Amino acid sequence: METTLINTHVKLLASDFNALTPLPSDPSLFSRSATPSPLSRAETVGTITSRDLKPGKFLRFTIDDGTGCIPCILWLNHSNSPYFTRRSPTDVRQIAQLAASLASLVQVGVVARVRGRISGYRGVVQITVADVGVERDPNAEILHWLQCVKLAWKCYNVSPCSR
Amino acid sequence: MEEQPVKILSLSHLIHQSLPLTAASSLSSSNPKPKAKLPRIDKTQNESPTPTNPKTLKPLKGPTVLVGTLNLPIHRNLEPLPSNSASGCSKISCFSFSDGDSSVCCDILDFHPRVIGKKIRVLAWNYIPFKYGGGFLEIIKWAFAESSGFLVPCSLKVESFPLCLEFPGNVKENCRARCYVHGVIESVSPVTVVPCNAGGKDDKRASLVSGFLTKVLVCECKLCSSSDPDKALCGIHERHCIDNFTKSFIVYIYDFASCWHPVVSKLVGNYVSLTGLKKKLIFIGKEEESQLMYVTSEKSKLHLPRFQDQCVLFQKTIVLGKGECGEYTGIVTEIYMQGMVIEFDKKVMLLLTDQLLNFTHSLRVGAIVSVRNVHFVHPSFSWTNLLVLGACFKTSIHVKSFSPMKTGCNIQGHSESLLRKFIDSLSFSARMWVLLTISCFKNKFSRILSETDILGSKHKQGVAQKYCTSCLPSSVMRSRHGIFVEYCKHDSCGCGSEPDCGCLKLVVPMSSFISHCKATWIKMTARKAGSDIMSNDNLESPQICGRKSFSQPTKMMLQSKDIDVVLLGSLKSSLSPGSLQLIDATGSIDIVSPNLPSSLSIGTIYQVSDFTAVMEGISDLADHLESVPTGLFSCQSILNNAIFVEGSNLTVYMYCHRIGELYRSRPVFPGFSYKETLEDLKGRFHLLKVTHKFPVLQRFQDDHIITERLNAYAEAIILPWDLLIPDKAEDQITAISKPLSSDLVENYDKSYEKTTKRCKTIETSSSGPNYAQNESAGNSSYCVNTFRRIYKEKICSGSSYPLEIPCVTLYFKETMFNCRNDKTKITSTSYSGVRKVLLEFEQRDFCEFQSLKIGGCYIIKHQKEDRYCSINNSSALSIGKVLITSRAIPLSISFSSQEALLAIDQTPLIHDIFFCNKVTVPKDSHGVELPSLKFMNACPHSCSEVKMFLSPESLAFLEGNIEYLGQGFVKPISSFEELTNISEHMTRSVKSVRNSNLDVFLPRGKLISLHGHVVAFHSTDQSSLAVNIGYGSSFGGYVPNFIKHMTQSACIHVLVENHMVKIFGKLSKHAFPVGFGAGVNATFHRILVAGGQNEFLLIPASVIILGPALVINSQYLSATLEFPSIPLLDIGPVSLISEMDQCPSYMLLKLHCKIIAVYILVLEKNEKVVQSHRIAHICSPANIPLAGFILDDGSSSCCCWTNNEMALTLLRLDKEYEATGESSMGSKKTLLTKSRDPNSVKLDKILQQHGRIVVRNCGSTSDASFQDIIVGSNKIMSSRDEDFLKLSILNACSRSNLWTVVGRAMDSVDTKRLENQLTSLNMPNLPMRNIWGMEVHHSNQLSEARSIFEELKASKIFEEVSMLLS
Repeated sequence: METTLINTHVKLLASDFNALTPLPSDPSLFSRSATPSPLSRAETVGTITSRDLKPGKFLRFTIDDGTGCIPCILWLNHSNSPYFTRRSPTDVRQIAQLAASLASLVQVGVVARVRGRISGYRGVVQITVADVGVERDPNAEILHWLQCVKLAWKCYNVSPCSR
Repeated sequence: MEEQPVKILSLSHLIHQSLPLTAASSLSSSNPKPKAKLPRIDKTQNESPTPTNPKTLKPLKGPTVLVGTLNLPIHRNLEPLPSNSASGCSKISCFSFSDGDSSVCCDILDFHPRVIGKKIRVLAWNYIPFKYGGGFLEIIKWAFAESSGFLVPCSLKVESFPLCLEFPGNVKENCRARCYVHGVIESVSPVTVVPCNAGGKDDKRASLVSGFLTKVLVCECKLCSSSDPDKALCGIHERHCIDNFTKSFIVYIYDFASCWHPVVSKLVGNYVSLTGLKKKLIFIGKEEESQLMYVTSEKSKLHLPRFQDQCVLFQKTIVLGKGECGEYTGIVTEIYMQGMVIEFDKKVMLLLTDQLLNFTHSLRVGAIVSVRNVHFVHPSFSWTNLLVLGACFKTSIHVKSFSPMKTGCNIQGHSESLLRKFIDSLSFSARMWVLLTISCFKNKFSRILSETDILGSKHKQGVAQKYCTSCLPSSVMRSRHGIFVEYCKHDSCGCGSEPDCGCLKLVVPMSSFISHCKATWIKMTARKAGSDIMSNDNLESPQICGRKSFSQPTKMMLQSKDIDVVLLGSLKSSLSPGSLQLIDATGSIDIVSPNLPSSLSIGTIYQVSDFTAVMEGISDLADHLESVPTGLFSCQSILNNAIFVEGSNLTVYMYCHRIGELYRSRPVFPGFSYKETLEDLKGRFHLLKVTHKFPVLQRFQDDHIITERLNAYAEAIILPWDLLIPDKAEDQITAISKPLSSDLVENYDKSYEKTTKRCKTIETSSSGPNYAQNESAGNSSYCVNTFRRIYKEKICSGSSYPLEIPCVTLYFKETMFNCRNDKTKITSTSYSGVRKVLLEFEQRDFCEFQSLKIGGCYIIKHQKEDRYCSINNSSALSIGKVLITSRAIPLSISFSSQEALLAIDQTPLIHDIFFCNKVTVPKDSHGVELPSLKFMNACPHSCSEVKMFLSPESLAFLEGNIEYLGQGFVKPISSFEELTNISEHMTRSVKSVRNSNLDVFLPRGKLISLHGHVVAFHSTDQSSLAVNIGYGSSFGGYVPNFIKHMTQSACIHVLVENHMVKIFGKLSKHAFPVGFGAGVNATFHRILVAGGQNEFLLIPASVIILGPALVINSQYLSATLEFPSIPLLDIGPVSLISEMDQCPSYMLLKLHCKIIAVYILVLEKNEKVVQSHRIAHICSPANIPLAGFILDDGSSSCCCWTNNEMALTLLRLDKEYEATGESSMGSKKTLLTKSRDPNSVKLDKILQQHGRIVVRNCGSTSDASFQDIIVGSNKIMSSRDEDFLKLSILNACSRSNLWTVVGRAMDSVDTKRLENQLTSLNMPNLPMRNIWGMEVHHSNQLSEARSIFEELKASKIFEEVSMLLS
């Protein structure tokens, strides 16, 4: 049974997320000093504070959860990307359409839930977005905070003192 | 190797030693014939339940031979035949072997007639001693002692043997015995003895002569018809006459020649020639039909071709199992019932019931035997598949190889019992069934009845025969005619045609039946577990109670009509309320029935043929699947008297669906025995109404208060009415025409309430309407002809308040209804109030206790100085405890209108209570005959022993009065509104009790009775019980004794008028009736209003009574469980996926998560849409039998397996779907065109086209974009449809929808089933946790946040964070 967090979308506050460092052995995996388990995916909830769209290439945006800002990138270059060359054109088209629709949701000022792969770009940790959802419930952010605390306590083995 | 010296053994030594031995060492060195080999037994077949593994015969060391002479049986023309003095055998068809000093019976392989009378060396042999002295020799290999002396000249092609070896006188040369028969011996009859008058009618020397018949098939070709046996027999093989043996002759070999019976038997199928015969016209049978046959004479000779190695192969019979005659060769695997049934190859049964059949002793277990001229019968038994071989007078048995086993010889005792004659008079199928029944009877009733009672005797039928006679149709009976007629007229005697014996049910021992039920349950459960997870009976919905789920017991049923078995047994009282046990010597089974008639008597044997066996248990396959016994209803099991040991914790009981089903069971032996009280139904009787029955007290450990005796208690109120039945018929009561007026009742009621001292006596003096006209009819009509209603009102002073209501009494006694028409009356007693009494029943009277019904009226005979009418206690409300004795047993009583009595003879109603054929009353009694009356069923739920018939006015008055007096005692609540009112009221009152400063908390509240439908029933633990009760964690530190000793904490969910209420508490296991569980209607008497919303508490005095109808329908149950009282989403705080491993599988989990990917999706066309397309309704676009979603909650990921509605919700296809259709409103048709969800419509269209689609994700399960979706269908799918399905899955994983999923972790059994299913779908099981999703909702983020905050607040981390912040 899987016990690691390697494929789990960990819920981290921005302050914790930004403290992640890539593993020397595998740069696609990240860890905090206090969390021995390597991480590859993350989820955050916050307000979109910046948006930089390069049509047909990517959408870069930042999300602020109150503890910090997390840079995010949503790729829109599926038709050209080498990652999707093996996939059927129909699948790629559908994924591209989905990404475009997600990009339209990302507007500055909205509270969004972002899920994706943790990646590094120029020494900065970011989320390569797989999914975006706009949160219209004002309780979403507080719930996310509480979930981050609970998971840190119960699952990620992070104690307040270790911070 | 040095050769051991040959040892010669004497017979007397063998007889003296009396040990089973074999001396077959010569076989191993010289000729390894298969005769000495152990018979090969197919090991793949199921072993017989009883250990039948006989050892092989003990071999003698070194070669040991016997030297002696083989002789034919000694000719005897006497009857009865004396036993063979040498061998202890009474058979007249046994060879004997003599070594000069001693002689024994023997059988021989490689037999040739030339061996007879010659000295031989027996090189290989078996010796089997008889039980009662003597023994039997099986000659396996032999050689002439003096070989040179018995050389046959080579020129001699035919050998001749004179049949009359012992003929004392000289053979007359002029004897006209010139007839001959050349042909093949087709069959041989047994030796029979007939009277013979050799010297004509006047000859006084008439004697008995023994002989046997043989049928010879002859060829009519020229050479075969030759008078010279040499010509006829030589070269017969070359002449190809085999197919021409069409004509047959019967030869009667008698007198001195009859000793050749064993020889001729061995020659069945061989060419022989019989010469020196006489042709005679023989008259046979009672009708003296003439039959032309050949008879032997002094000159008769048997001729055999010198070289004849093989028998003639008769034309092979095509076996249809309808009585065809043929040959069967097999290994004897078992001999049952003193040789009456021989089992071959563990699958074929040879019936050798006919006592005239005498077969060789070598027919032992392990022998290879060929049975010729036997009838093949396939009985139409539904409970087993069997081939029966029926032996008749033409049957002969040829042992091809002796048994090397140490098994005994077959010696059938001669029995002249009626049972044997009865068996012989039946067809073969019926014989087999009767033998099985007899075996079963012996097994079942060995400790209850004597063997003579079971089997009968020479002059008396036994129970088994009586039972069989009652079950068998007349078509299976065959009239027997004796050997001559049946042999000569074989085909016309019905032997070869098997009549249909109908549907004969198997009588099974109780242990076999229970084991069969258990085996069936285990197999069905195993099949279910291994079955398609997507089938309707997929992972069972557990019962939800609190935060826990409870496995539902798997309930299965077996209908008696499906298995065609019948159960016989005697009755035994049970501790559980309302149940009895049917027992036999092998086991017992509970009988559940809502109405137990008290007329059923303990110790009497009853037959239960129409029932439903209910098996109930929790699935636990691993323990039992391998130990499932098979062939429980096989003939082997029954004949072996196998008793199976019960192994699993499965509950098995019987239930009769319809009321009275059980009571139709008729007593087979020795007949009903009725209550003695009914014998003496006269005098004064008190009228009681039972208000409660207490569960049978359990004796607690270290409890010295309750004695060793187990007594049962019932509470009753004594009604102020007595029944008076005078001893003798007295003068008729004068009558008046004035009926009982309503004023009178009113006055009575008022006066009762005011307890006035006014005394009112009512007498009637009027003749009933038209009743008197039949007065002269006497006893030929029923009693109403002399009935008079007499009421007279008079005022009298004093404290007594007598009120008399004359009535007709009808009661059941000794299979007849008796009617009392004399001065029977119901009279009011001196005590006007209601007093309670506690009726105490000792253990021996538990049957009486069980038959008591709460709310039922009973009469109990007045005894001198009894407490029911004690004046001293007249002011007391309770008269205390009264022990019920056999002198005064309560008799159930019911009241009906006279009109019902009148209707009886006009429309005889089929009663549902008793079964009787004739209703008569002795003339000297006060009863009258009630022709064609079976019984009336005035009240469907009553089966009272005494029925009172009153005028309508009196009936209304009396019933109203009884109801008034018993008000508030027993009436169960079945209205939810009433229940809610009580519950709310009690909640307030209970709270006040809790706030008081009581040191000891005891449950307080109102005791009520409640009636409802049980939806779920599960055990619970002490802590949850305490929480449920609402009394905090405990009873204030004090645990009452009764709670401490209760054995089972139970929680029962009951549906009352479509509202769920919960009843819980600890209760003795005896308080739960057998059959209680989900699906039954039940009344809960004396339960405590617990204080919670619709919650009630079981107390030690509570008792549960099952309703008349039992619903055992899983569909219904699952449907009912869809509306549990507590929403699943409110089960408690959110769990984390990473914590799932620590949770037991019964614990419900609530996860707050998102869908990451879809693993597999099976979509099927929703048939309901097609079936009901003309009716507009809301339905699902697809049926989803299985769907796997990958969920992630931040702690870990898991695969959530679910189906239909939940899967549609997670796919966001759950929007209401309204099918378009036409509906007619009046005469005008309206087309309904409502808006439809486009995705649902599209999915519906795709599924209509493809039927079934499987969507698999062969890519990533952690990133929706990298899923590799493969859509599979049996038909070619358009890319458009495929894209639609892929997009649907992609959409389900996007937009970060948060779901709250409730489910339970799948245990190993569930996971195994899942793996099986995934294998069939070519998908592996994912290496992650599996959860079975039961409910899903969009998350309420505020409540979730609050919940987590509370959780954090209660933890240490909150303090740490606070400290850090400060």
